[in-house]
Amino acid sequence: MVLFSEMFASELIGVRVVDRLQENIGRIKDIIITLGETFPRVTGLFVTLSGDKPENKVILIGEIDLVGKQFVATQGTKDRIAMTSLREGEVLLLRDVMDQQIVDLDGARVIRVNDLKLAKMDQDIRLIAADVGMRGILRRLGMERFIGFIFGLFKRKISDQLIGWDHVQGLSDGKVAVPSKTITDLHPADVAHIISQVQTNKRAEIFSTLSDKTAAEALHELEPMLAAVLIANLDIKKSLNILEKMPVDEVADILGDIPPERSEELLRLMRVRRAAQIRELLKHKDETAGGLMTTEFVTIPLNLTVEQVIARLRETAPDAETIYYLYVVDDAERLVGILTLRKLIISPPDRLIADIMIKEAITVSPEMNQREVASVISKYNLLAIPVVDAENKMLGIVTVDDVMDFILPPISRRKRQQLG
Amino acid sequence: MKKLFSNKNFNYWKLRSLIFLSVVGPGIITGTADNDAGGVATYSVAGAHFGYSMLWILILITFMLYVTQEMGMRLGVVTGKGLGDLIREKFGLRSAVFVIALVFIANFSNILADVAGVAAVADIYHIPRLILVPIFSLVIWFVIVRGSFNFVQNIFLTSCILFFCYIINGIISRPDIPLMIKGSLVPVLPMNREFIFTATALIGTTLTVWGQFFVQSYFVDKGIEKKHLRSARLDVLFGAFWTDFVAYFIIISCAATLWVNHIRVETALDAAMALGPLLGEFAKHLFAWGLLNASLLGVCVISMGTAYALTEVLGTERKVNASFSEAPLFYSIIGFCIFTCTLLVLIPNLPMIFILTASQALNTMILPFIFFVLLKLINDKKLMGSHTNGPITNSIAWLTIGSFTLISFLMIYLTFF
Repeated sequence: MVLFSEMFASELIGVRVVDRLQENIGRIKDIIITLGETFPRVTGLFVTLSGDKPENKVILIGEIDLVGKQFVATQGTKDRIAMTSLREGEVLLLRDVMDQQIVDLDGARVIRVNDLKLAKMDQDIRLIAADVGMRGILRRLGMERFIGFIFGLFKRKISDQLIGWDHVQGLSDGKVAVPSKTITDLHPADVAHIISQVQTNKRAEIFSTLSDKTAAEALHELEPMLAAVLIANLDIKKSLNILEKMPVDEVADILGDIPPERSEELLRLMRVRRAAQIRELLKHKDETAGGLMTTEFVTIPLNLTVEQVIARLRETAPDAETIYYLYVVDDAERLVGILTLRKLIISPPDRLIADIMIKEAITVSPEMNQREVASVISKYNLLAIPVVDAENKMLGIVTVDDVMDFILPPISRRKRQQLG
Repeated sequence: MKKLFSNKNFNYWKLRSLIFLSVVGPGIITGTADNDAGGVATYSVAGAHFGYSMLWILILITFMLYVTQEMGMRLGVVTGKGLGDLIREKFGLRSAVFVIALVFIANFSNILADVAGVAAVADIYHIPRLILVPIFSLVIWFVIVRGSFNFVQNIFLTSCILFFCYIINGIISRPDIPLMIKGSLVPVLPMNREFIFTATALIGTTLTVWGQFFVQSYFVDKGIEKKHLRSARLDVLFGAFWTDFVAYFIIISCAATLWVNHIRVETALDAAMALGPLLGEFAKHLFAWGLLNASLLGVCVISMGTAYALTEVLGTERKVNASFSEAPLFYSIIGFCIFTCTLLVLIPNLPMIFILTASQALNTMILPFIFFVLLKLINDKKLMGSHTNGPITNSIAWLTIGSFTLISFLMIYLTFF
């Protein structure tokens, strides 16, 4: 049984290893762990033997009696310790884990390992946490005490930033940690945040592990260019499945940013109706109402009653982005009024739509600049605004979340980014 | 500078500028940002004091610029990581802190040079430095904190005009063609202090520490794939060529106007006179405007680049769009760089042109360390697979390290003994 309380990996590196008679054996070069459990177990010490010919050997943890900051002692005498060589595929703390990037699943962020905390759990020494704060850096530079003293003069402490190893996911080979949850379990906005922070080649890797639905939502949260790069490089079938789960206006935004051959190929493979809608949207300039709008909205004919409309809504179960507004159109598809969901629900079943709808609908033209659209939406406190052509025919709607960035002041926008 | 290219908080103009940047490639960016205030000053001094005799150095270091930038590009494309990330992961914390300290010194001196560029502009118009320089620093600070980079973007484009003027001016100022060819092809290296000092500065302004970090993160952020290595290489080649093409014409302009008349560049106004043949009296204004822009761009790009490199190595979270309270370290570094440099520049009677060139020379002294680390990384089979350096690239890189080390020592020796 090993005597040990808790310690940082950096404090162990370079520590002297002696046998039970205090005879010098060598110095610790690295620490070996086995993976597979939530808190990886330390299985051995990688030691540089002292002597004329420095040689690196593994001393299994079973041979160790005491682990301390001053020295590490073995159970047996020097000549009776079993030593092995380092095997291929073994994980070393300093070499493979320290200084690498990990995902902090609680904070949903990518961060670098500055130090590693070891502690005794039951009979084993285990890796329990990653130190990602300034303190870890200072400790490794041998300046913890000095800076701590200076902080002390101002009556402050250097704060610890430890992340439990059960809340960590490794990035290097994905095998360093076995977390209690994985990136795929996080909220899509958090996933997007992580994806935007990791290195390029890791992005596609993480992204392809997501379910189609999560991927679709994460894609919406990502910066358009990044989303486009991800979709363009994904397997065509997978990218089709993901795009299938997204509203047409977002699909159009992404397809507008990827190479034309690729977007053409994707459009050909989509359902014809959907593809036609997207093609229509792609014609509009990005920064105009036409570029922002979605063609998924609900229209109802003028001559129905409240009851009939509700029945019709249930029946067709529209998957449109918003059903808070129903757009009332005449026989020629011209917009004649807007019916709010609220009005619809609180009105008696036999009332005619024409009597309860808002007749002076506020509309925008497809060429209107997105900033103007935003100011109109915010001025009238709308959830969505219809986009109509010169003949007042409905082309699409712009929803408030599409123009959120222009409505919120810059600072709160930043906050939102951070939260999301 | 990553902020320019990987902004999560995306909106229309950024998309437009991204499209613009992806069309022109890093060529014009590097070319323009590389020729910042320190660059313009150094090339002017090189041309005005030594005529055409430094052109051969410029041509030689164009190759070196290409080779080192190509290595940075390849490292970024293959690993998908920034130089700071790789140094930390491969060499551990201690070495990383050492390297990053050097980077900080080099970059700080570059920022100092760019702020000094503003002071030089103030001198041209006889505006007190005490007024113009702090205003300028505050403007930059707000640009960075508020993230209004479309402003920088537009400014950046106008400073290109200055460089085009230098090219036209270089042609119409009737340079001495035989001397120019001789200077371009025949190496001469007189062992006097001033020549070596200027040559060192010339090297340090063309190949820069921050440029090495910049080129790598540029390609990482653009998410270029391995299969596009070839076209990325072309981009880099064009960038190296464009940088030095402009530099070549600045030197020629100064040689043909100032050097022949034995005018020494002591102040920015002297340097501006080199544009006389093309612009006459107006030369002063264009030069001032170009220098101011170059300074603005330089301070923005280098101070942010420094903050990125430092936070990258220290492993604090990579905050792309954070406010001050969310990323205090990031903004503190930027703030420290800008405002300390401002204070230093405001010391009365500081010789601006000297500061500008000396900072570039310091850069040269630090470069060998960075290239050494770069070579170690790029020849790491585990990291690069089949994309490690070939023998030719390796020997050019070693030659670069060797010659830069040599000239740095030579300069120190000649300066102090």
